[in-house]
Amino acid sequence: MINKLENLSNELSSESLKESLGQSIENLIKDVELANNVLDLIKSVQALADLRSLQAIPTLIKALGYNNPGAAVAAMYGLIAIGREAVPELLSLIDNYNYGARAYTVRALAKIGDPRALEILLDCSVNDLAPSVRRAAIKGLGYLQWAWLDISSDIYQDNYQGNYQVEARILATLSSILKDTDWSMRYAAVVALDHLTERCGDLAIAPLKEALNLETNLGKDLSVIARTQLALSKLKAKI
Amino acid sequence: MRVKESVSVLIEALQDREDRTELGGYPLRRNAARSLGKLGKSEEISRAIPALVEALTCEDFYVREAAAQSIEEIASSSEANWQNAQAAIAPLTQLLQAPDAVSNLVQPYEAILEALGRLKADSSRILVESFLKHSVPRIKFAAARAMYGITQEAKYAEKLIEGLASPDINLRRTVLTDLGEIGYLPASEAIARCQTENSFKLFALKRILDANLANSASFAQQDSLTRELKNQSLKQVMVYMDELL
Repeated sequence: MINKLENLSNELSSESLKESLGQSIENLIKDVELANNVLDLIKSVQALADLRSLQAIPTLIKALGYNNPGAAVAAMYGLIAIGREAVPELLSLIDNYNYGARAYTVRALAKIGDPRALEILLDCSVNDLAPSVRRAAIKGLGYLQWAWLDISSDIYQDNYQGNYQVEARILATLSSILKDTDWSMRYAAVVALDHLTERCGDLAIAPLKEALNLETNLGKDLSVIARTQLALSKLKAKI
Repeated sequence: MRVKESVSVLIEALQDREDRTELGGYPLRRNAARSLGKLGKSEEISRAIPALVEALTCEDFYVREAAAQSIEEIASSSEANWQNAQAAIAPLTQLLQAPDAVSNLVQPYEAILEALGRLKADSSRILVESFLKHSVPRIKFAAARAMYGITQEAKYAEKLIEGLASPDINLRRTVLTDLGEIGYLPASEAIARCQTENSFKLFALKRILDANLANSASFAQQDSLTRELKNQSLKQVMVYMDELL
């Protein structure tokens, strides 16, 4: 009898909790929309982001496009924390006309690591104008969560048939970035390759060895050389 | 060869009298002084040092500032240029000598202090130290960076780390860059955590990594425990950098 009562009261309190949470999300969304000064805007976006609620996704995506870095960064980290649930909307609402918003969207997609973002990451890793977006996209190519692939997706089918053409495309893109004139792009490519050795083995080790060769003779950047050596030494330690 | 010609032309431009602003400034001289710091590491550049030293006495504040900045850049371009730039220590120090210097802005103190730090100007130490009490935070931190350059004492670098918590974002960016410039390895974690854009933090950590990798010549002579500890902290810097991409 006592157990029954306890269960009932648990259910009741979680119901009322849910209800009050729902209300507070709606209020917070309203706060973001009605904020009439910069500080209020940042605060309310931050509060909404902290809830990690699926209901908040469209408002957070809209905030990526406000001309306010504080609010946009808070919204971006909120979307990253929500993770793959935010990916379909991030992809469909991508703003090709607002450059700033697009940059935050790509950075969020790169951090979340959903393979559905593959095409946009491949494109931005080479062609984006903002260095920070390129670096994020390059690293993101090495950190895709393959386990999230949908069975019906092209990539899954490709992998299932043992082709690994997607991985080959990623590795080819990263290899071309090893010749970039900007050290930070080459560094990001090495970081991506380092992580890809787990999935691709020898296919990723070959470009890493090539990276060391290229960097020692051409790029000559001490940090990139050190990062490449670190990646290769981790492999040795495993054998 | 191109550098040689450029240096000659730019030295000439430092004496220009024709290009003047309404307030009496010398825009061509400013640009010439700035450009001289950006010609790379050829020893040819050292020829510009006497002309830059002379420019330190120009009546235009921005010419003096650009000259001090370029002397700093030349001094950091190579060992030989650093040696040749030592000649600028006395004239740079002279600009710090106004009686109420710690509360005025009549000289480009930030640039002067940074140049003296780069030159490890031990003879100017007492004067540089007095600027740790300057009323403008930017200049106070420039003095801390210079004192670290001169003495290599950790307490001055620690002052810069305190600046990473400043509520002023421009100041945070400045000290972040300063800590990168002096290659202060113990600052890595504080830099990684600082509230600033990722790219600023990435570039500062890279300077620290580069500086400490370049020191590996003396590294080989240290005992294995010291080496291992240093290796671990360099790996940690790379972990922070990976996170900032």
